[in-house]
Amino acid sequence: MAAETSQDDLYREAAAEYGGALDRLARAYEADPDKRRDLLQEIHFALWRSFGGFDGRCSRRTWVYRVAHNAAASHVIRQRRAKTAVLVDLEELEAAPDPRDERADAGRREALERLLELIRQLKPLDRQIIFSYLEGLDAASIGEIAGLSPGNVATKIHRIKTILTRRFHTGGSHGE
Amino acid sequence: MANECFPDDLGKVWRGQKVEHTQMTIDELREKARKFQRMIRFKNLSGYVAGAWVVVFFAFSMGKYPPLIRAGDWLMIAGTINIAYQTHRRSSAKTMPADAAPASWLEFHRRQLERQRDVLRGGWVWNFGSLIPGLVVLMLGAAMANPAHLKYALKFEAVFTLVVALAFYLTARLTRFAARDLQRQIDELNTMG
Repeated sequence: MAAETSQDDLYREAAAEYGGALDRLARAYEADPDKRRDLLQEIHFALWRSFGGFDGRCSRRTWVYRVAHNAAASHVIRQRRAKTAVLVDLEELEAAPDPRDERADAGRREALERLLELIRQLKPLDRQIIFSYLEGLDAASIGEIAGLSPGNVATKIHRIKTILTRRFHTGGSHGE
Repeated sequence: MANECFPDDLGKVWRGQKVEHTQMTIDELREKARKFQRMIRFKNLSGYVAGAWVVVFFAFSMGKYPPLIRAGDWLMIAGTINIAYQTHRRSSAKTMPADAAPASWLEFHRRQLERQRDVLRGGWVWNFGSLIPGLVVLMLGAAMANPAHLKYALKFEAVFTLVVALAFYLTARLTRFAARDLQRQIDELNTMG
């Protein structure tokens, strides 16, 4: 009973603290609003179940992001069995030409849409890293969540910055 | 001119997007967990129901036949139990820790799929191998039960052998087809890692 209460409390606290981030994570993984709602429920369910075994070995934030990523990546695999979208990694995205007009003065909404479109092209691990970067996490935290070395994360963040600057920078006006 | 702060500004745009802030109630989560457990139990049980039917069938038919046929029945029961055990041992799904790091997540799923594929590729051998002793003894027992009609018994057993061989062949084809599907999933995972 006490364990259940602790699990419930941990979930409530995490949902209150990271609810917004989980919603944004679901957006990074699913474009369709109905499927996104289902995915978000799956993430919350996975989170609640996982807190039954939370032992404090890592921070609660790391735990939440890992569990959410694994639930979302499972969703991506299930969806990919139905349709065959090509996912790329950061290196390929960096080398690819931008199909959109880089001079366009994108509004905030359009910038977000473009950003989501870009993120959804990525493989799950790179998607997790760019998501964590956009959430404002530092390289050490991202490395802990993703299970990568800080050096590897730093390289990937450098690539992310290059890609974002190239794709979104329009000479001082940036999506405002 | 490039603005060095730009990607960080984009982070602000990202974090500033409107969110629904979904939160499920504990009752909703418990109900979902109950449904999930029911589904898992059903999936696990359904695999053993067919085996249980075979065991019940041979157990009931035992009393009215000569000792050699009864021995064949026992061997069929043992073979069926062995198939259920081997299936459980070799292909039951392993659970990954919910908080596994994303870098090892794909690797874990890849290993699981490879394990299931290997079971399917070689599975028909130990499946059929478990049943062959029972089938042979049953056929011998049937032939010896009535020596006066040995000719007819042998004809019947030749047809029976053909039917069993065809069933084995079709099962082997189906499992190979399922293994190819798993291989496709593995290849797809490899493109995601």
